[in-house]
Amino acid sequence: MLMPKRVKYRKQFRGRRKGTELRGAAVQFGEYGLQALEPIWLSSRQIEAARRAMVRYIKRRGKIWIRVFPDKPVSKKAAETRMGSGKGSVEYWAAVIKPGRVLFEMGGVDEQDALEALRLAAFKLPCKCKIIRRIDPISGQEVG
Amino acid sequence: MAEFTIDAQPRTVTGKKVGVLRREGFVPATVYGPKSDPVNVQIPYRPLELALLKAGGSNLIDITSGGKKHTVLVREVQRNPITRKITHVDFFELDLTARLRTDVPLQLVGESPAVEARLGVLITGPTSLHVELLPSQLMDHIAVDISVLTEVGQSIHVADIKLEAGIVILNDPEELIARVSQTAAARADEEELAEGEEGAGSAEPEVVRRHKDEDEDED
Repeated sequence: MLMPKRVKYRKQFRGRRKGTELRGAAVQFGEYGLQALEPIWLSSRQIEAARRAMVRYIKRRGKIWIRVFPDKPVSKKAAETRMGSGKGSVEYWAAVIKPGRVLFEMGGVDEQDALEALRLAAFKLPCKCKIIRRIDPISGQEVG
Repeated sequence: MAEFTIDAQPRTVTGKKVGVLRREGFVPATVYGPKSDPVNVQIPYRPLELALLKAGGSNLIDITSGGKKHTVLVREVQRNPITRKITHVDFFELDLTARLRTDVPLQLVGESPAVEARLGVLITGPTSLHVELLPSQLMDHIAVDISVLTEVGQSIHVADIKLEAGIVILNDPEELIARVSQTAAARADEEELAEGEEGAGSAEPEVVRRHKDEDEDED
């Protein structure tokens, strides 16, 4: 599963998830993409589950791009522990997602297969998602 | 001179208040250039959308606003990341005698025999090239023939593209335009995954400044 190799600090504050994504909101590499429509913390397990669902469906055809990386450590206190005594230990790693973020991209497969693979991947994610196509940034016309 | 025209109105509303304009069906835009002062304009949504669809970023557009005509290129289009509706447009007013730098879309034409035979996957690079040319040399698109990619591993780079004299491509000559790549990526991913799972439970990232933290703990 995805996680950073080196980090500057072991634990982080939770932060806020206001607004929409302004960058990383367009399909850049493939022809189709899966876009998040809700703000979420996407865990490395969920990313992996979605990736597997896609790979399993398209077999060895095409190419998949993962556009998010879980670089936020999420900590949790152990069960039945009294409050206090510092912050809990790191439980998992998550990517902070805002609405509009393209999570996965796919290229080199038929449209029908790509749409089905992305639909299956969306079932593994904890948010509403939309399948989008690559567009020309100026004209807005679909590319590819 | 330009093939496309847009009727705009001068705009006095600026800043955060332009949301009102958008709700009324206008798109705020600005026209600027090396030899003119910036002008704020507002354009009805649908005519603008149609003009952008046809003209793209590499065709000249005539904008008439307040009795003045500006010959422009579309420099940037801002869109809502979810609805993809246009929220703002930058137009660049040209000096028709000077060379300009702009992005021209790439169009891949033909079919790669290797991809048709399902031996590989076509990986594409940028969708446009950054070029320097005269306004009279502007073109709709640059066509790249990918039927020369007959085997897996073959690629087309920026250096392989030939354009008419006087047009300079500013992208890195080594930049990839199209490549036929092997389709075994998925299998490699699965192998990686199996390896990753074995060590996933105990793996912990190295903290860059851990040694310093430990020093502090000891104190």
